[in-house]
Amino acid sequence: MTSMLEVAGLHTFYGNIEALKGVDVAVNEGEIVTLIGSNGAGKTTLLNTICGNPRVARGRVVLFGQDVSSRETYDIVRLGISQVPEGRRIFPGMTVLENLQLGATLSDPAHFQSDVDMAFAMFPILKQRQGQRGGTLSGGEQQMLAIARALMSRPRILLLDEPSLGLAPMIVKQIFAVIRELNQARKMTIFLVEQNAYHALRLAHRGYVLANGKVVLAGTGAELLASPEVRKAYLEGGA
Amino acid sequence: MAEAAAAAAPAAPSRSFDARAALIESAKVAFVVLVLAATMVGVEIADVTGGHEVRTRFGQVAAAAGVAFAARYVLVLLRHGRHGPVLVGAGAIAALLIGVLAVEWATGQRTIGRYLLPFENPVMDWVLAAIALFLFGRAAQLRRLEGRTASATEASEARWGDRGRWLIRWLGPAFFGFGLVFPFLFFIAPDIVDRRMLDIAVLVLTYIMLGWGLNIVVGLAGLLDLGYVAFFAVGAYSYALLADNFSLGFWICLPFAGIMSAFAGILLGFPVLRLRGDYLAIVTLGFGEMIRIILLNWQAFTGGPNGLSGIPRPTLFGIPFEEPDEDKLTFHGLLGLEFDTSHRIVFMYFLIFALAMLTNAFTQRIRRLPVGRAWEALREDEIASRSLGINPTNTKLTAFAIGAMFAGFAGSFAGTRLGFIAPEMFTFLESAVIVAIVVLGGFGSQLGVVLAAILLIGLPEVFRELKDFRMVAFGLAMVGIMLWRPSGLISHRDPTIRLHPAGRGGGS
Repeated sequence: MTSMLEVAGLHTFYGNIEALKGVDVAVNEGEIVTLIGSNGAGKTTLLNTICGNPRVARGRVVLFGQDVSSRETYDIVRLGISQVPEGRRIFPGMTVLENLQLGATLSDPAHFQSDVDMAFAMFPILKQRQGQRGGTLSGGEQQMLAIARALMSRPRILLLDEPSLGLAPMIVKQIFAVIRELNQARKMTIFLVEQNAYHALRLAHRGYVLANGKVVLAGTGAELLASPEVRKAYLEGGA
Repeated sequence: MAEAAAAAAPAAPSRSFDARAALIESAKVAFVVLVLAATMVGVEIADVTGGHEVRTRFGQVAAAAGVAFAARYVLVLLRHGRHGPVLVGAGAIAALLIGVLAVEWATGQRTIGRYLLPFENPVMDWVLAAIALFLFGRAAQLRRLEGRTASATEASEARWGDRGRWLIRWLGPAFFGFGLVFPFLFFIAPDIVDRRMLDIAVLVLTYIMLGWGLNIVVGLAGLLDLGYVAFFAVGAYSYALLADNFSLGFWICLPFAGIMSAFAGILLGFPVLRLRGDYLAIVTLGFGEMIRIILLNWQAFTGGPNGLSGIPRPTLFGIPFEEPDEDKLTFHGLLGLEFDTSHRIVFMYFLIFALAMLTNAFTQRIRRLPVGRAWEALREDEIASRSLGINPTNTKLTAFAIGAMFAGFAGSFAGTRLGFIAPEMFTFLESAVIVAIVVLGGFGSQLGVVLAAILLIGLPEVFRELKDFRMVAFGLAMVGIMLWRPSGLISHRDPTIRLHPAGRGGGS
């Protein structure tokens, strides 16, 4: 198994505030790796730093064997990484199809047709909504669109930032099923950031627990699910 | 859903009508008008031989307050569903005013109008007639809607929506066709389309082109530029200076003027790359002023406040529009026509028409190309665009450069049309008017820009008689737009990609 993404001793600052205090994370080919943690632990910061915004202060981000620590976002994503950002960030004034078209900015236009067909096969509701403006979609549909848009560039690794945020349990189930499907059928490597620890750990091969800008626990999904610390901090009260 | 719609139906407003409350409300409005009009209209300083003289027009102020009182009272009546009296009253007043005004306009003298019309200025009386007509129309509309079910209202609204879309689709080609034949009306029907109308049309087209150019920056890329006139100035001065110093013709200078302006656009773009929204607007505003002040003070190069004159006129493939000459081939000599300066104006009209259409065609096309898509994506969400592989630096700079280039083309046209340019032609007010055209038209709407330019540039020129009230009318129009169409006259955005072929049948 080759390492696709390797984060080593990563520090990130927002002004004077140190958001990440030396994080080490690795994602291997074909894996679903999840990162869990409470609010403000630095989960989203880690994903954003991998994508070059904010910049790496200390440490390294190695993507497909290349050090991308000092590159620009639009340059990093060229290598074959795609991010489904927190809060979905679809283009609200543009139609579903236009959103997908922008997702394909970096890919060969010859693929466009078949890639859209694949996206519509994965999320049939998007096919029905294709002429509708993104902002008029429901939350779940927007999340599906964000995932579909991220896949349009044919990435080798997909970063997902809290895809379950603010969605109904039924839709969450559906989204997680899609993530599993992506990994199993399309061999997509996935790095998943979640607050919904139970779902995420059940899905993931491996997981990390982030607290106060540091990785405090690491292990396989099952190990973490069984770990008393995780149960106490993230699963108590039922999920 | 159905109940909610029924509750919102037009019959819903309370029918209990309190005459006293209505009178008090109208009196308040009249009082506000009285206070405002007393200072603005009530006192006039007139030039008389040997000095100034203060004249009062309190009669006019009283008339304005009276009109405001009556109009407000009518609005209250309408609000309470009392359409009958309004229908009769407003209808009678509108008919009377229009009748008297039409007769006086036809005969050209003031007769009974002196006693019947409240204002001295016929334009104001026409405005009053329009208000009466509007109230009459509104009353008629409400009466027609009365007793109708909610679903019928909805169906009628849906039909109007369809008609609106149909209208928008055909309005563009209709305007284009009208624009093509308009100058020929000048030869066919000189009574209707005179020299002045032709000049106004050229001016409106110049602003349409500027509006379309700015639409690239503001409408598509979402970068609010309040100093757009700077690029217009760079274009005009580029042409004037190139023609002056190197005796080059219009057609050679035109691309150069565009390039110079595009360069100025990039120059502005670099420092403002990180700015957004209000901050960007302030810096662009400053840039606009900087260019004007440089032009004003660099006397040796730009002629300073005196400006540049004697800018050469454009030729038609090298054939000038000049008086026929023995040794020189001129347009009139070639066609064996009698010399007429209006031919050059018609030529100018077609020149700016072609330039404006070029801008339009370019914008329509580029929206469907990756660059144009990147502009729109950047306007919608910069962070998301970046994570999809769009380079924001290049994207913003191309938007500034291309927007500026079209302003440069328009600038060289403006220079050659007037034959004279000066820094005072490129003030902030011009930038504000162009931005107003784009905002009023509806961000990103090409057709909206045309309508707004006609409204903002054409109408004030046509109604020059209204001179004192032009800015008031301007402000009123702005307030009206913000109230009724806050996203612009035409807020419809055409998707750049249509239904996915494999998705037919499933579309919404």
